[in-house]
Amino acid sequence: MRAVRLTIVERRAPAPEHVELMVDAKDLAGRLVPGQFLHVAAGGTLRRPLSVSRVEGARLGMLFRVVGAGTAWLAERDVGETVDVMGPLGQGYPPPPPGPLALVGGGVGIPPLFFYAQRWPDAALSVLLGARDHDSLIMVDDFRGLGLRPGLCTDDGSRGKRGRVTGLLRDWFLEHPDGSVMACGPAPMLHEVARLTAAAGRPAWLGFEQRMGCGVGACLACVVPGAPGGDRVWYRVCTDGPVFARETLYGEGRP
Amino acid sequence: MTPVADLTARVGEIVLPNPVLAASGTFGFGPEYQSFVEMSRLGGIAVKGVAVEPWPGNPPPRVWETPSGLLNSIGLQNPGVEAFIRDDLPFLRALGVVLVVNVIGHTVDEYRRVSERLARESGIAALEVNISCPNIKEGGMQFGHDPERAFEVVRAVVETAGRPVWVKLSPNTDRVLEVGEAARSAGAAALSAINTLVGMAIDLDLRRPALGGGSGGLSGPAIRPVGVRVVYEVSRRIGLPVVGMGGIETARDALEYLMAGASAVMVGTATFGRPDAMTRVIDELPDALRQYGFASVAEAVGAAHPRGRTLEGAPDEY
Repeated sequence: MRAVRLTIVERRAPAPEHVELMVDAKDLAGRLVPGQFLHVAAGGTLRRPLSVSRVEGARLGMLFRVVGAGTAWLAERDVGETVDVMGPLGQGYPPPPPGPLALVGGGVGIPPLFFYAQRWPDAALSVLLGARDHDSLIMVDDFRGLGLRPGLCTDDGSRGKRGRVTGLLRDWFLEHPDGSVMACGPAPMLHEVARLTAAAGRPAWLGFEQRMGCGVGACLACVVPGAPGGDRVWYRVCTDGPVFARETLYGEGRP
Repeated sequence: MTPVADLTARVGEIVLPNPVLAASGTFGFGPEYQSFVEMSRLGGIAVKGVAVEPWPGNPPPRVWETPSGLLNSIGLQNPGVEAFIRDDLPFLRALGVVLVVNVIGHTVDEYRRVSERLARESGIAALEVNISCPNIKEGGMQFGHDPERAFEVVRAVVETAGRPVWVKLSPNTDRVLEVGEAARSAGAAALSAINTLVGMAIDLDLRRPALGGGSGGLSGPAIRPVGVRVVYEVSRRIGLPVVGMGGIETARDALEYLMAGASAVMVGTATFGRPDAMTRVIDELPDALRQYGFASVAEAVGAAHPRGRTLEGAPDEY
């Protein structure tokens, strides 16, 4: 596997502070598992790990929020320019288990779940999306385009229900006690998803984000803690994750 | 036809096919980068620091990008020497690349025990004693700022290693020459310089230091002039070969270190941005040598040193 240069074929601005770069991905698009990431050169010392938001034929999308110098540099790239990409890297989400499945996305954690919904059109999917405000609640229309009807909420109530997406998940479990969960979002959201799914005795896979160095497991920068008393103190988001089965990080008990 | 430049590098008795090694801490324990780097082409690999027992390392976030650089606070997370020997050393041996094992400890005895244990293993060219990591509370850099303690650590490793011992110097002290001299008198075969510079960044959103460990070590092109200066001084005044590092991204950067007095160089942070950084330096080094009038790496080593001045006669610039 080598770092490759992919040509930007479309640049979208789906919401304020959010950019989606569509690139001509050659052979890479077909090898991607939803939840895996691409490590993208961003004009400075470190690459930026970006999830894949969608695959359309030989094109793939990377939808990110502009949060610092690296993502600002990437946001300024335009059609016809190339981006330098390593990947696909890391462990993605497993195929849908039997029974109902909720995709639970928070903010910029939403894109890999859209790719998941796109990849598994026949799964019995429910989609629950949350963000801090209206503008950060991204990809709603994309999910609708797949015939799905996402449940929506925002911290400030500016779109959907006021509250956290984990509140929607709690309600969902009342109607789907045999359900499973694929989640991606900020760590506090994932902790609550872990707590809820453990309490329901149902499986969950959690997609984490962390400040990352090498992207291949060498530098040990992007760690998240394992379960107390578990096999390992830390797990690497880049190679052990970014998607973890709940038990890996939270143990068999109830977090 | 122009003759091909001779890239052979010598660090004491160790002969390298080229002068470019992977820097400790940036290249894991070997296999992580194998999909992206032509490992067999490297001049050598310095693996991540190994302690006598597993170390957990520091809380995340552990990296933070800075202008032309990188702050890290990994905290020397490692699986311990037994796990290293069992899980990683067979792979590294099979590569056939010059292997340098970085050794860390909280106490002189911990350094000695790692060295003793590794002495029973084949396939290791040298140990690199890390007395310069800024990210741990006890040991590490404390030894690297005190010539007497540096002497104790290095002597303990030299007595037990059964192979050449390199000593990695800290730039975070005004006593680097004294520490280098202590390492020499304790029996070190070479010095490596520099480790990272202590620094800090603040996360404006969170109103606290950006790194989980608080402060961290700065690496990358931002520190190259610091590294070049330390290599220049140490190589002139200590009388040991020096392996130079700090911000090397290109063959010209490597040549700068060679001319400053480095016998070989290490590339670290650049690999994160470009996994092929080391092999690119190797590929481009013959042209860079030729462009500046050198037929070999050996000719370039120390070429920037003043001519005709003895060690004693050198001005005390430190």
